[in-house]
Amino acid sequence: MKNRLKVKIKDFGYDNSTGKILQAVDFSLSDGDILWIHGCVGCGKTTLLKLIAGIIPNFEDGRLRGEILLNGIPIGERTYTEITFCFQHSDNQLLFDSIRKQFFGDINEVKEYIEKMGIDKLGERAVMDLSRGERKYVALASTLFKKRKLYILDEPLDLLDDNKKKIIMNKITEVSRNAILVICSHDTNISLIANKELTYDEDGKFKFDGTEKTTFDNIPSYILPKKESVENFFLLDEQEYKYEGNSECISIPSLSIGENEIVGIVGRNGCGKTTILKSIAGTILSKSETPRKSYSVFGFLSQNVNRQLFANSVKEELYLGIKNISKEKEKYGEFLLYEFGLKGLENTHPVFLSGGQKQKLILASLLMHNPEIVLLDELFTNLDVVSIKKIFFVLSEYRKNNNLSIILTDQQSQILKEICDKMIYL
Amino acid sequence: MRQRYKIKTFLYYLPDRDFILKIFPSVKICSYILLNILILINPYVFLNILSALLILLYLYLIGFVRYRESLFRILFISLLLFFSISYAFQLISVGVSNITWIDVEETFFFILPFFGKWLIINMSGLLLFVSLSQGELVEFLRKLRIDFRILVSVTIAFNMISRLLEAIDEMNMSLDSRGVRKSDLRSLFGRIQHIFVAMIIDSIEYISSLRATYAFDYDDIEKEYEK
Repeated sequence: MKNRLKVKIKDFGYDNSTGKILQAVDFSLSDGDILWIHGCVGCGKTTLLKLIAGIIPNFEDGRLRGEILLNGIPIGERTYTEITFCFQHSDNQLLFDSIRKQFFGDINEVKEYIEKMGIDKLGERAVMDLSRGERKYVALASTLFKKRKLYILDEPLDLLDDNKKKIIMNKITEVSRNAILVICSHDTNISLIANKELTYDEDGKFKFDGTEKTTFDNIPSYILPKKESVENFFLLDEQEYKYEGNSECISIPSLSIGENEIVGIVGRNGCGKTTILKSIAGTILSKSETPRKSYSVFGFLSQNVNRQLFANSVKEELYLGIKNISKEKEKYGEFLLYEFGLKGLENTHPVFLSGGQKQKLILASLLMHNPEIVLLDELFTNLDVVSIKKIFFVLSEYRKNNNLSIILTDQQSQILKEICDKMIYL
Repeated sequence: MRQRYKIKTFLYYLPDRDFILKIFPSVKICSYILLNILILINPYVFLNILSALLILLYLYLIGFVRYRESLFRILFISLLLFFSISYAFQLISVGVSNITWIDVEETFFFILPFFGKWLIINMSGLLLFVSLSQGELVEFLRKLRIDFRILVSVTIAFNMISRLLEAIDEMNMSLDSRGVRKSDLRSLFGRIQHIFVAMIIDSIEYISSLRATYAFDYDDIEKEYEK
């Protein structure tokens, strides 16, 4: 018998807010279907996935009017063992310390699968010793290893390098033969394997299309105007890192960055991109080796946005660390909120923002401190095309009146090549 | 060129091929329990303090003190507070107006044994955590046939340690880059408050994800532990 998922949501809102996050979502899926959900930042994609999985309202509060049925059974306790979910911050779901233990099943079957997916190359390292991209890959691989009727994946291709993306997409296609897959992603590569699409329209509603798919012929252009650069503004020594059970070393080349230079760092997962940024920020280097510039000129946007939100409202977060808010600062703050689509959310607690909104808020807060170097780790994660364009607009406006060196890491090397003065391949 | 080595332990730092890594996990755990029992009954205060200092020296020599400077700073402050507060309370109990040098001296020697025990408990606990991996501990508990739900809880609790250390590093970095200073006591408390708030936000999502994963994988986890 074919599996069938029926989603009919009249509306949904969180208990602590009066507004409706979702309205009129209606679609049905069966075995072989891969549904791709996409739309702008903050439109409720992750909320929809959590509803389909039953995480809301069973583990998180919310008011749902409508029904979600898997093979005629309402999503809930009875359907848990038929569903698997891969979270966007997938290190949150890795229960055990070793990589091997994340895979449940026959030892030989697991061994074969791990080798096939290339996970054996990660060695005997602890999960927390892996890079975020590697953790994501392990979490995804273990999710897709399970035999389930419904697979729900939140931003599965985020943080993955091209090779791992290909492996995961092949695995998704393989799994979809006997199951239903619901995937939310900003990454347009998903369009290559999805056969159904749920798009967030301009009128503020999700539109289900079972026959046509969005095509992406043109990769949008991101341009930051060039500025005169001073050589050797910042220098980083050559370093080497090694983990137990892994003969491979992370080698970080010596690095020189010019003033106003935009540097892109690309490389496979676990090659040391984040380590370079952390070294620059002076957290890994011992005090005697910290860069000559003090922290006040650094802006660091790391991958986990939840660990960078400290205030009780969006407005407080924006002005965090600023003692005297001048009229000029206030005006600039208003500009940032407007450009980043956070206008009207000033009094909202940052915890209620979507991943992309949180990322934009942290970047806005960093820019309020007039940094001379910003370190942006996996900037494009959580962001749609419109948001990325907005960020580049804001950065180019900032660079009109200030000196700013930008160091970016990301898996989307095409975009980086377009905007960077210098590329570092690890 | 600088080289660093990471070892799969709770606190993630030991030099490669250190002798302590060669000791069986069960021996380490049993020694720790035995040591703590001995501490409780041992009347030789200087032996406790000496053992604690030897462990501290070992942790220093393997580079752990330097690696987790802030942890040791907190530990040092907490030990100092423990000693000062106990000392103050003991003196007050004598009667502030009647305190003589003999009282001060006697109080010092009265508190020293408790302080010595507390010091060695802290240091030996730290040594165990530094040298034992989560997997080793869980495997040890599994051999004792402890219920799998308790083992999962232990696993998650110890995952939290490494997770919290990572989170604190990231939060400190973010606060530094946003100009939130720790120049005086007030700003230091403000910073601690910020970190506390961020920890809660981060943990809410973490716990919610874990609960859901646990519910989805309950049957598989049970089978895995019963193997």
